[in-house]
Amino acid sequence: MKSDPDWYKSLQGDILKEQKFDNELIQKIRLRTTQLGVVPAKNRLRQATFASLASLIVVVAILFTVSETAMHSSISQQNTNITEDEHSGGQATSEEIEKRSELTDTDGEQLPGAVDLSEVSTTPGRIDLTMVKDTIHLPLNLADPSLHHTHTSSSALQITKLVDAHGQISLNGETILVIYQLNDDKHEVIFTQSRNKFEDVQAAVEDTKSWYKSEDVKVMEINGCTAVIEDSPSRKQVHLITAAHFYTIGSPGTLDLEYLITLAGKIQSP
Amino acid sequence: MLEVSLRHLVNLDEVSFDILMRDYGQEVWNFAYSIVKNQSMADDITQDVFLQVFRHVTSFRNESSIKTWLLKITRNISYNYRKAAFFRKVFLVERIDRTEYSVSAEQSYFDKEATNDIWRYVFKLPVKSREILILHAKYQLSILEIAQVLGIPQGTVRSRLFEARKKMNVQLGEDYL
Repeated sequence: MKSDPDWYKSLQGDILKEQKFDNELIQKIRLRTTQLGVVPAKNRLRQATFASLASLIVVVAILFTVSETAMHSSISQQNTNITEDEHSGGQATSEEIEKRSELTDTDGEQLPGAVDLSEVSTTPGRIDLTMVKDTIHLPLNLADPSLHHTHTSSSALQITKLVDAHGQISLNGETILVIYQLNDDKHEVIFTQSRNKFEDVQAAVEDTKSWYKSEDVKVMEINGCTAVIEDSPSRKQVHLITAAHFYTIGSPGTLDLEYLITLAGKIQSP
Repeated sequence: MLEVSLRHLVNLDEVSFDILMRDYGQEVWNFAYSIVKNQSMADDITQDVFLQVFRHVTSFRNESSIKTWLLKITRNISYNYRKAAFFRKVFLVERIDRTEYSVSAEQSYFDKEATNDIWRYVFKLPVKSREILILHAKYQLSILEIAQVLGIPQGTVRSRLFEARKKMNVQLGEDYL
């Protein structure tokens, strides 16, 4: 590299006339380093809390697994299903099912529906419906087996099969999921039920609206409950909101909002 | 002295950190400002640089000097800020007007407050030419040290520096040669 040009000398000093790295900036940095000392202490406490919670969840999961395995085996031996009773609602036919009925009763009335408990499997974080503490408001009897594998020329969506129904436990509490197969054998309808963490309809409605673009969201009433609807060109979803619960109905890949609204009307919210 | 002790420290004590800030703070700020051309962003970058130094003083052990170490950190953080600012400008269309306004305000401040005309010409260069010229002319780094700060081969440093000086000469005219 040949010798440096003369104008190099003009670049030896500061860029600006005023010194910008001043005491104020030094103080800010000092303050932030002090906070850094506090944050690790908080992090340690948080880590300890998480570790305790994680251990607790593992223990609970093991207990659930053990108890469910015992129950599952008992149910299988008795070959017991919950059968639909059109006149009086669901009837339990074994001790275990009675236990489930107690858990799923709404004001003394048992939920209608046919769920083969032997189909419900157990994975970590996932619990059997019998273990769900909350009352189940999601419909469990929407499947019409006669439609299964019947490919009609009609494009109307219809539910053919209950694919799955289970609960999930997370740090946010319980969530109940019910999944149905549609008659096109490709798409599914998913219902979820969880607690309304705001415990207030309007607060939950406002929060839910904020998830979507304003032009894609609308609010309406379904069965006396407030519903927030996502009606975007690429996705439709219905969130039914009560003071105690938050329900979601969606069918990824399908765009029939009217059908989802009809299904939302089948939620037996108190 | 500080350089020797820094190589053996696991945690930076308050006194050493203060010396480091007072000795190199303005240089860090200048380099950040030369890359982002925005005062408040340079303030934030300078804070982030020293916080990183405070947290990871052990990362100095394999560096050749405090100056190149700090300049390397400053450059990395400044480029992250530039990238973030670019994305904000591209994706948040409604903020473009405000950004453009602040750019022109920043430019007029710089035109008024720059210590001399040469800086005004340097600031018109593209960032890659600008940074290499500043590292060579202002910070007096060798080709090897510039290569370490920028993470590029020495040959690339030479060619970029040649190009940067050529651009400056074109801007300044033959009077400055």
